[in-house]
Amino acid sequence: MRPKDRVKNTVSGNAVDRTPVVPILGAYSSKLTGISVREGLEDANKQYEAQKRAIETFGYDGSFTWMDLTAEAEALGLKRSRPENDLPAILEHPLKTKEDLNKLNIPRIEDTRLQVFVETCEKLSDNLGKNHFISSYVVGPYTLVGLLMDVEKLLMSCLKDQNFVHESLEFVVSYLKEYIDRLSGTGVDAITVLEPTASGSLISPKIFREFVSAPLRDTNRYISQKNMNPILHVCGNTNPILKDMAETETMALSIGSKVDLNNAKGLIPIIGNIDPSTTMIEKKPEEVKYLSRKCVEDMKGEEFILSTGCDIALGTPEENIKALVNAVR
Amino acid sequence: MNDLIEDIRKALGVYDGEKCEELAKKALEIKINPIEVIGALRKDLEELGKKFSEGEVFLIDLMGAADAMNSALTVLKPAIEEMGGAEKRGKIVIATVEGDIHDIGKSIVGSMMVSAGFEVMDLGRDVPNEKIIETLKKEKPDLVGVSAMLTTTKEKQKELVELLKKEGLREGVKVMVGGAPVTEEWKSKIGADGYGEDAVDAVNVAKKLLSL
Repeated sequence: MRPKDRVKNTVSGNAVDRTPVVPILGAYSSKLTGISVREGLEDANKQYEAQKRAIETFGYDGSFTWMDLTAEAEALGLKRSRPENDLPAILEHPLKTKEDLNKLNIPRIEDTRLQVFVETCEKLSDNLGKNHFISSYVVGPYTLVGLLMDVEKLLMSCLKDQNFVHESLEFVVSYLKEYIDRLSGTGVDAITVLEPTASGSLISPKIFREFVSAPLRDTNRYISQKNMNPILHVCGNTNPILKDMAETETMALSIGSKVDLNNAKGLIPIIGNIDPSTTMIEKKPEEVKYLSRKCVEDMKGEEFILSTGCDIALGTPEENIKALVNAVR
Repeated sequence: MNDLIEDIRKALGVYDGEKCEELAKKALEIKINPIEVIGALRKDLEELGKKFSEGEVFLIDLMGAADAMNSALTVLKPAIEEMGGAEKRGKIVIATVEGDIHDIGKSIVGSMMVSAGFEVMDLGRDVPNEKIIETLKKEKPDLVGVSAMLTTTKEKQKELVELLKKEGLREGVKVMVGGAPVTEEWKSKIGADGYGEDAVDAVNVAKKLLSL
């Protein structure tokens, strides 16, 4: 069975020969080709070469682009940091009033750094996509508004200035759709929507339903209409909102290590959830293998893809990634 | 007059800071003891904190309530001071360590500490240890709390404890650490005094450390 079909079948509920494994491995691959993280985030060829090397080195079933939460916000004109060997961060949060919202314009995607990701997707699809499952990332509407406003301002606005939040969400969804249009031409199998700010570690199920569900559903539906699989990733403790997450017309949930897998049973296909910090960085390979096998065992009879709960850190031992991948063999 | 306190509590319950402030002013006008008002609100906040620890309410709820509480405090605190009865709960300096721009957890801890009656100085995010040391020398707080959200940046917490020892400041100040990769174990390993698992826990630990 092709690795691609293993993932595709799992996501769509069909039979597979073994549990697929797709760690969230992005910027880590910079180490394999000897580039800096900064280079990989600004040069599609370099990012693609690194991701290709990672597949060759570890042999897992699908390849995603690097997880960079700043790209969509930067394309709207926000300043970001450019660390050499770390993921960037947004440095300013200009959206404070409705007037600020009116000042934001949807850019031409090809004029922004999003083009790096569009081209990386093309290269991944053209060269690895025949055998492997390929996905791009897109930042989720709520998280993007959080970057524009500052998370604290967003949370307080959800309590006090609801219309402002709704209007901002409406704007970012229309923007994300334009980006999704561009990604749909690259041949990727899926788009994974990243919604970390909607985590149960920050907001309540009530706020999730009031502000996160509808824009997310709109985005996921649009991804499906463009013939790609929408996948949803939310980190942190999402135990109280798993069902709400599953009801956003997404095809699979990528969940963090704080989620009890028992809570995730019987919903939709699950991707997860080895702890990228205490397990992947700190444990020995045998323990990583044991914990990975335990995940697979716990999810027996469910549609399940073994993965990490979040992005693999640069300092993760290579042997631990091998142990994770080999745990399904 | 107890009705008015009930109304303030209700406003706090829906996170309406403006109303809290407005009603607190009214309470002062009709000579309700501000200490009584603060006491009632603080009790509600503590109750909410318990529910948070049990997973019944969420961080956003704590934020909203602390924000409303702090709006009421802008009116009530000066009134207490005027009465000559300023509450002395201790002074706290907080910061997110250098190289780390994660601000929200630390801000909420700050907000909760203010609600609990502490005087809080928030140095912001990406703060070098040298700047923290400088502030400690000048402000002489009872406690310093440092947050780190990345495995790489939590090293700065260790460095701060070492720096404090080197500068001969360690005895004079309690050190608390927090953040996603931080644990009780890490606290003990680096020789800090307290670890707050979340904003509510942080307030409780701070109270304990300062014997309140």
